Amino acid sequence: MEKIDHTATKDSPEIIFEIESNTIQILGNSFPENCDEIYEPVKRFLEQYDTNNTKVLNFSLHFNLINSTSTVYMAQIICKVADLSKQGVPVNIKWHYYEYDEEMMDLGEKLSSISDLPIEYVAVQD
Amino acid sequence: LEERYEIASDAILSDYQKIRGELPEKEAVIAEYFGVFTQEELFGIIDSVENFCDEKGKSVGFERRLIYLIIESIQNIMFHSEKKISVKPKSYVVVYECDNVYTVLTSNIIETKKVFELKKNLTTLLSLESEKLTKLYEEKIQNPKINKEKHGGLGLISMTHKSGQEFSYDMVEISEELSLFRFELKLQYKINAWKK
Repeated sequence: MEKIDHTATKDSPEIIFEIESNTIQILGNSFPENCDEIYEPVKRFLEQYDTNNTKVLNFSLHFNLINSTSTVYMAQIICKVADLSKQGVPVNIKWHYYEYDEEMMDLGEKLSSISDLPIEYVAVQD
Repeated sequence: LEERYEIASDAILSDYQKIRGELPEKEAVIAEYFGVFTQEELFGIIDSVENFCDEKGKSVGFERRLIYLIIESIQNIMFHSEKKISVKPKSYVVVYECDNVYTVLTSNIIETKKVFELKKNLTTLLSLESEKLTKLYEEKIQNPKINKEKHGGLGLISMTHKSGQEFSYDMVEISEELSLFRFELKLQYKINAWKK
């Protein structure tokens, strides 16, 4: 399966796939020059995901600063997760945002509107 | 082509010096840069804006929106600059504040043949009612596409959306091939309008 782990930098998020909990975590800033190098592996990971796996596929997302291209990539990722869900894969998405950051919560809602997938919103204190 | 870009870079420098000279004294310049943009310059500008907003006690929500506009403005220049020449063309950014209105002013070189299309897009974005602009932004997210340059093509729409359509632009033809594109975004800090 595609390796998706990525170490955080000033402009790119930490991406971790925890095998035991079957969780993909994306955390931090996301405004790199090369969004494709960071998010294309995540897209391929989802395309190659075993749809017979009955374990819940968890997403834990928490962005600080996110640029418009990263937003479009996240929308594509949500679409792929929705496809998996339609194929019977149980999925769970948590969208974290700092409690003062209404725009980030709003972005989560906009991404949620792409599909019927419910997104759990988690307000985090800074 | 490189020679023409060098001439255009001189025009950008003259424009930058003119703009800087015209700023009234009471306006506080928060960050500025003239040269070739990379992510490193962007980091420096973000740091300056964060320090300024912290010192002035501005809300983090406001600071984030301002930084978002700066990221999109500068990456717009970086991603759309001419790739066929060995020396990257120069551009500039000036971020300043006056009476709680924050301005992000950028200027870069674009191909003259692209002026018409860009003007058309910007005029459309300016003319849209707020609700229609939000709808356009949502439609782009609901139908997410990455273009052949590996970008989302959402930059101008999101900048217009997040600035509340408070932007202006100017295009000056330098030669038949190249023009100067000046883009100015404004964001007003309203007390109590931003959490924390």
